[in-house]
Amino acid sequence: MTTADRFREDFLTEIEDLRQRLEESQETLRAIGSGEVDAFVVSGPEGEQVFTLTGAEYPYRVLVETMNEGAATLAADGSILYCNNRLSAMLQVPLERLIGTQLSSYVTPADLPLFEARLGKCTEECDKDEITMITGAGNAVSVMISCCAAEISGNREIGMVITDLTQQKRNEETMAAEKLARSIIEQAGEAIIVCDEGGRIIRASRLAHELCGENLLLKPFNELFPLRIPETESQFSVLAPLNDARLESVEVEFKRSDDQIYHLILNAAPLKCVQNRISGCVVSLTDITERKKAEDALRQSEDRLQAANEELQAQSEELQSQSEEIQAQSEELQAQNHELTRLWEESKRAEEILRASERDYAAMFESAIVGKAQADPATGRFTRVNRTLTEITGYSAEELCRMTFVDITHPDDRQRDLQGFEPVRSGTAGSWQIEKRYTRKDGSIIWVEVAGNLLRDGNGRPLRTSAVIQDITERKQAEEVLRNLNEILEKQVAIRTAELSANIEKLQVETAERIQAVEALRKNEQMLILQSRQAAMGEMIGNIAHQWRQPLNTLALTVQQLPLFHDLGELTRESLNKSVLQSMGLIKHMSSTIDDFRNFFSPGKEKIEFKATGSVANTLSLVEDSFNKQNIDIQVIAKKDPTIYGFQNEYAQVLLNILNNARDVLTERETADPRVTITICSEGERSVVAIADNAGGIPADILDKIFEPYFTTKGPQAGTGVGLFMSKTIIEKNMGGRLTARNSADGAEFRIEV
Amino acid sequence: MESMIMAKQPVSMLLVEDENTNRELLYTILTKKYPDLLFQAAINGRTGLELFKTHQPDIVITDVNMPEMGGVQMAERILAIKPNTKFIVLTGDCGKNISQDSAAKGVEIDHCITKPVSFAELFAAIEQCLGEIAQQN
Repeated sequence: MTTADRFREDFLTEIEDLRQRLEESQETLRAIGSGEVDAFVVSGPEGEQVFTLTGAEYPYRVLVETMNEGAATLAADGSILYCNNRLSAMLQVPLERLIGTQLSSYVTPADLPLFEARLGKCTEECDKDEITMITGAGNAVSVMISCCAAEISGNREIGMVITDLTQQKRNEETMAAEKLARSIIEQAGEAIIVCDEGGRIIRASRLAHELCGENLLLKPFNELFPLRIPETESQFSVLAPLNDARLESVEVEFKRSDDQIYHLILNAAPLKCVQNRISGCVVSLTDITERKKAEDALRQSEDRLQAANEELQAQSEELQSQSEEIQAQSEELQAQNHELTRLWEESKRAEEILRASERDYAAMFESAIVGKAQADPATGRFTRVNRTLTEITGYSAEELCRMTFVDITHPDDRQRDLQGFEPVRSGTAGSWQIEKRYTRKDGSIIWVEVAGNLLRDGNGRPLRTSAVIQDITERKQAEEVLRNLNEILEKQVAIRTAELSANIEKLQVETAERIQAVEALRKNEQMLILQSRQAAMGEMIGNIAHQWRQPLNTLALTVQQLPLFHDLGELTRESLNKSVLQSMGLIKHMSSTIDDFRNFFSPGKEKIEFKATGSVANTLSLVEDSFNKQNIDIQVIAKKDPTIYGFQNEYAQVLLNILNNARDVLTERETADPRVTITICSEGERSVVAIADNAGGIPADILDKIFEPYFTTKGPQAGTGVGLFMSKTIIEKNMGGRLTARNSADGAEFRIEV
Repeated sequence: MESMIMAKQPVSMLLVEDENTNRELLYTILTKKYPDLLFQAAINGRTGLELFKTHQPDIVITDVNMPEMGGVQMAERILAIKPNTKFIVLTGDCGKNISQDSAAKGVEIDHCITKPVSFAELFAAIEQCLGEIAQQN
């Protein structure tokens, strides 16, 4: 490259540069002309100067100028290109001096890093920060800055809005102070009440509410808090502090609406506003009731100690005087004197012990978990009560000490209580105990158990009573529940008992009815037996008649022929002997017949062993005449000859019964070749006698009824209907056997198994 | 005696009795008492009926309860053969039973004598029968 070429190139570059600058100038002029430029900075020998321009954005400018926020545009280096009057006022720096200066120079050093960081980040985000600025006058101003980067006229600039937070801050501080005051009031260990100038409560702490027991606000203080000042016997009024009086540590008594008495320490002061005018007052009340009680108790205990002390003192003085007397009287009694001195010392020690024990007692008395009370036995008035008793009764110790134990006793229990206490009051008994009701201060009724002792003076006279009082309401309630349960139980038991006795009566009636039924059944059975016996008797008489008819007839004929023969002259000794012999034979036959029947009828009361064949033969001998008369063939087939154990005559009666039935039915049905077959055998250990006829059998419809009593197929004259029933009873009930009936091929078969 | 008066045609009599002693006694007594009468004796109704058919007796003296054929049954058969036959019944129970039984069968019993038999009664009945037979002849 030649030198000429290089120059040419330099020139071309310069020309290009110049052309660009010309274009820039033209653009600037155009922007100014079109109002796009607000101000411009001219660098001069005195430094840069900013010239603001008026133009088309006038309304915005007015808005920016009149708004209550500080506003500024900053150059990239942080110098103020433009700002409004509000910022100028805020920073207490004239506008003209503000333009061109670094805004950061008004930021407190502590907040400078935050300010710088906010500016640095403003290209990325628009955000706010709270910082403190220092005004030209040196005041700290809390502000909120908000900045945004913007491209203005091709230059990067920063738009910033600065909000004065001072007023807001002040408000917040006020609120914080208010909150603090409120929390102080709330947390104070005393009741704090603020009244307005009219004496109305406008603010009260929680303790104040608790003390009063109701909502206090906007109510007159004097009405809610009637406070008595015992020292001056006067009434405290809220008008005092409202009239600029200050009261400090004044002890007052507050009687609450529920009559509970509180001891309070009162402080009261007026509230003054800025103009020093009294706008209200503050009253604080500290509850010293407990402390007061403790003090009272302490005082009482001290009093008693004092009394005891004095008494001891007196005693000791007496002892001393005695001692001196003795000394004066006799030197020989020196030893005794020493002894007395020792006694005196001992009594001193006893005094110490007594003091200690009184202290212990006082502590024990007060801290006991049961109620304790001492009372004057003569009047019943309480002289000393502990805290637990006040809790039990709801009365304060002072109230109780103005009362007698009768006062708090339930009216219904008073007489009983006094009766129980009488021996103690009169000194004849040393202790008493009672369960009774108290009426508490709030009117509720509780059960207590009182156990007390009588303390006597040196002369044995009743001095005071000391009692332990326990709240046994819960126990009583439990007892009540138990008693109720017991009553219910007793009632249930009574009801159950009544039911049971009713049942028993019913059962007795039923039993009596059953006994009657059994009795009736037994009578019925007896009647059946009687009827059966009568029927059998009738049968027998029939048989006897039959058995006797022929021999009687023969006898009659024999006797009557004798005079006939005599008349005919044919009566010889021989024929006479023959007739007598014949007659005697007949008489003997008839006599033996009677014996047979009599044996048959004599009831065999004892079970005996007898042969089945023998029994059958005996029975047949009684009836064979009548069977023969009816041409009934009787066949006896004895396969074995078993032995039967039982009542022989009754067994024979059964045979007779069955045989008679067979004979009757064979005759009645006029059976051709009537026949009765008696089979005797044994099956195992049992004897079997089967009596079968060929009369055609028992009709099927009555086969299962023939053993029922009063069942008969015969006419009214012929049958009683008890024969087979009695037969079954004899065999099955009396002899443990079986009597059954069935139909065979040509007739009925009765089977006796014993 | 009456029997002697009517001797030309002897009156015949049948005795029916199952009891041997009684029959023999009655037979002995009656033959002694009435020696002029003709007598036959049977041990039951059936034999009696056969004898009747042979001898046609005028009077029948019979027991009632007898094996094979009773007195009433026999009387019924005899009366069918010879209606004017006189019957004297000897029985244990002369009451309703016999008269009902015989009446039901259309049998007319002339005399019923209750056992034990009284001779006076029996003889009176026989005399009455003999009188009636004499009148008929």
